[in-house]
Amino acid sequence: MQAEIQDKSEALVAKDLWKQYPMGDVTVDALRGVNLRLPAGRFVILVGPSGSGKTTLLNLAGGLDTPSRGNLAVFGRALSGMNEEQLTAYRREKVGFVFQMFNLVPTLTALENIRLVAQLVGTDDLAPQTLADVGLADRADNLPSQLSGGEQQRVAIARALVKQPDILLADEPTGALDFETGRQVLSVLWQQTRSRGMTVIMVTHNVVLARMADLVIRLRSGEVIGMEPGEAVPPSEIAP
Amino acid sequence: MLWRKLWADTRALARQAAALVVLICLGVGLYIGLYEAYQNLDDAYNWIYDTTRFAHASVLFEAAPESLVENARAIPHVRQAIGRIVKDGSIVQRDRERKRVMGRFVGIPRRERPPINDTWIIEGRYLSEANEALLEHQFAAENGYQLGDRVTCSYLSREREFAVVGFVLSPEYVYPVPSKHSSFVSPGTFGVIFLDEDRAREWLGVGRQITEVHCLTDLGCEGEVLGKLEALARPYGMETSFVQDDQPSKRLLTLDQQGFATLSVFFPILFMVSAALSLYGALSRIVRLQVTIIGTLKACGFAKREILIQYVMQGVLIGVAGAIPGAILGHWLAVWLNGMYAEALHLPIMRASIHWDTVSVGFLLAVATGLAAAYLPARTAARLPPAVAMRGEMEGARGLTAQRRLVEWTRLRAVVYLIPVRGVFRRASRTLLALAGIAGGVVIIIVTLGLHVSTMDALDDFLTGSRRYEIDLQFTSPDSLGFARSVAALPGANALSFTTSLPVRAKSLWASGELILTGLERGQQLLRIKSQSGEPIEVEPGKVWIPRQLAERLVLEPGDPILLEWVQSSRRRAVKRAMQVAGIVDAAIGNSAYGEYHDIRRAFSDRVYPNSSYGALFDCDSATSQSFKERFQESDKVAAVSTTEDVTKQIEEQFALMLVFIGVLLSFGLVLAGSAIHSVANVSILERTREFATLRSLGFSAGTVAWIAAVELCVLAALGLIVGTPLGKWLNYLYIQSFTTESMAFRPLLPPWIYITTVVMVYALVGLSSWGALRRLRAMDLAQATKARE
Repeated sequence: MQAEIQDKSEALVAKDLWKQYPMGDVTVDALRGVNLRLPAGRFVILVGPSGSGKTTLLNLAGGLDTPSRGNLAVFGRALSGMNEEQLTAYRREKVGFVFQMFNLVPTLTALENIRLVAQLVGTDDLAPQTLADVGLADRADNLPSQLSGGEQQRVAIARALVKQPDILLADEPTGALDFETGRQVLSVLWQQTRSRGMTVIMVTHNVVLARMADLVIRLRSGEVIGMEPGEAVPPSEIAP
Repeated sequence: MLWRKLWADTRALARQAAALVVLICLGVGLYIGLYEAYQNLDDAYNWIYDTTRFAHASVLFEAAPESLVENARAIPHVRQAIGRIVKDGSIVQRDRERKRVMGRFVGIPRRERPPINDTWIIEGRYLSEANEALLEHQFAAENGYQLGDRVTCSYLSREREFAVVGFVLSPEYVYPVPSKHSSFVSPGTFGVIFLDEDRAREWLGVGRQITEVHCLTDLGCEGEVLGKLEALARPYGMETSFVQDDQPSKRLLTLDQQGFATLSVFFPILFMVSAALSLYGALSRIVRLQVTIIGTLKACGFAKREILIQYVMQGVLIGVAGAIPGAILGHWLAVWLNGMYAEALHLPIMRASIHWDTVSVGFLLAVATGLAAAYLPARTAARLPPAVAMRGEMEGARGLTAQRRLVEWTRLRAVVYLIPVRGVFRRASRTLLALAGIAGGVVIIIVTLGLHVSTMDALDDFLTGSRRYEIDLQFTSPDSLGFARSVAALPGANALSFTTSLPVRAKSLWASGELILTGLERGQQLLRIKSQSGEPIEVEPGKVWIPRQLAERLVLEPGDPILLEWVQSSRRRAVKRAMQVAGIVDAAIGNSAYGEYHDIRRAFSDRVYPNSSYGALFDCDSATSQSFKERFQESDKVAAVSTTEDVTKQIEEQFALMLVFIGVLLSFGLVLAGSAIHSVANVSILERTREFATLRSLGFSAGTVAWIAAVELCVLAALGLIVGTPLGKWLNYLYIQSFTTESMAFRPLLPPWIYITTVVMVYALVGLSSWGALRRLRAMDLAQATKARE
């Protein structure tokens, strides 16, 4: 088992992964024995209806939550059984997050939001360039409240990229944006992660967007019901 | 359905709502408790005043014929008038602990109850025989008298025994003080005995003369009547006069009640303001969180008014929830306080009733607090345009400008430090709310500790700062001086210094006031009175040191002339002396001016015999003080003896009640400060759940995030201290000033330890709140929290 999950060419390995939530008197199975092997350096999209377990899987992969049973490893690091300190170190060193609501620190400017994380991992000198990479060099001194939704999400992407993480996790990153803005944001995400050879796991409701993926995983009722190669179409070429 | 939403919203806020309910409960409880206690006291006093037909206007003089009463009855607006014989002497108690104490003998009719200034019999019966006596009940209790005991009264060395047939409460001695110059209640050493007036006249040797006239007047005419009474009494050596409100006992009670009234408004206001600010903060947060819901409700057709009522009702609901337990707590507090009071004053007539007017005001206060606090957030909610609200926006342009300015002002290399620094000022309303909450806590801690320190300072100053003697003696006549000198020569006696004290009226160009003029021997070391500069005063002929409160009232400064008039002159004309103000005395307790002993004797005391008051300060080893006391008490030349131990006991008994109040206030204050700071900490964490969760998702440890929250709280606490400390200092000054009377002038002292304690308390509370926050951050569901709305 250890040998299996230590293969560094695999970004994520899940073995019989379960996640259960108590809801009142009943227990809800958010994930039901998921088995997955995701190759490194790919743009993976998780699709499925609400309640299918996409976000739960993403949260487990990001160390935001812990599985109820089963095993999960990301780049050879077994997450199951990690304590809080180990999970914090994992999130700091290996994972970049992009949230649906951007989650920028409202009192820090765009550049400061990126530097906040860059200083945490020792890549402070990369912060201005990373902001420029997402096309916002001229908005460095703006507070989040002075940026549009699309711009805020691009700052959030830069914040995730500046850590140079092994894996970038994006939960509905365009969920709060209109299609056109969302497409622009995804273009930035697609280009930047590709140019860095970064593994991305993105959750979306929008099946159309699945065309940009290298690999599409379909979930329903907490189970993986399909895994198929994507078209790897740049988002700029995807029509609504 | 909106009501269900209201209920669900309030339940969702359970922790914060509970903290607010506690604050309102404490505010209402403190208000109802103190105000009801005040009302119960007032009711009890008024009941006794009405039942005993307490005189509306009184005049006291050396001696006058009984016909003076007829003249008094002829004064317009006088409904009833009586004349009485009252003399001061001593009560001899050879078989009791106190061998000789000061006694006041009051002649009353035996065959009928006096129509004015009657007594209320607590135990026993009224006089039926000439050789019977009624004892003021506190004196009787303090000295262990039982019905049927004999009491020995002494006047000018003439002793007479009476049988004790009743213990009574007199309207004139509810607070048993001999005169308006007495600072302390002395039930153990001052006894009032009511005797058959015919037997009293015969024993006192005063014939058909009277020394007091008391009148019942038409409502509101007591001042006018008093003026005419004074005119009648002036030829007979008028000593003093007063309307009912100025009667010494009633005056002290009123001052005491005023203290209650001040407390019952001052502290509840602090609580209510803090509760209102906290409620405002919490409801503002709800509105921010529910901005899209508000938009949706408006889009669905709910009117502005309905949205407004919805959020206002949330405040009202919390107000009512606090008011109900607050009323119960308040009533319990009133019962407890009244019980303490009744015990301290031996007041058997105290009844703790529910005052529905006070309860209603307390209720309204709570509801008004909820309403006032909820109105602004509710109005903001009601005014939100639906389209804007549904996008989840509410920031205005002004907020952005302020935030930009903040960015310009704060630029640090390490970005993580920026978060707490900017977090403090991220929203002006939140910062102000937090500051107000913490400053409120700081104020209440400073005021309460300050009151405690000032009280203890006054006691310490009185008992140890100025007193360097063991025994204070009051003699019955000047002959006693020789006696005292002979005792002073006995082994164990260390020093003796003679004094003379007499009540005088002091006049300046601007005003007049009454005080005790005390003559001290030059160079004496037994009574060390300090001037305002802290140096011991030096008395010299022709000059007088006056107390601070009198100097302020008479607008006098050192070097100014002052006219002193002896109010107890028996020459039937005023004895006056113009003197110069030597300086201002800094004494917290007492209403005495100090002059040179021989000078005062020449000017006043020696001119009248035998009613002059002579005394001495006597120092001995504390081990021998009791035997000296007994020796002095056995002599008929000594009117009263009090040792330092006696005075300490008296003062401690009187101040015990005050120290209990201070303890109660400090406890309430700490709860308030704790609630305010906890509420600030809660808001800081709750408002930023998503931000903190995001930081943790990005790889910051729970410790670092808790550190950010704690630093922010520490900065807020520091700002709260900066705002609250001068405010607390100022309010402490005002509060101490409100305690100042003619015989008590507390110094508004705030030694450094109070500031240090306040800082430590505030930061301890911040530490506790941060610890709670850390626990919550550790337990935070990151997956959920990163999606939370802010």
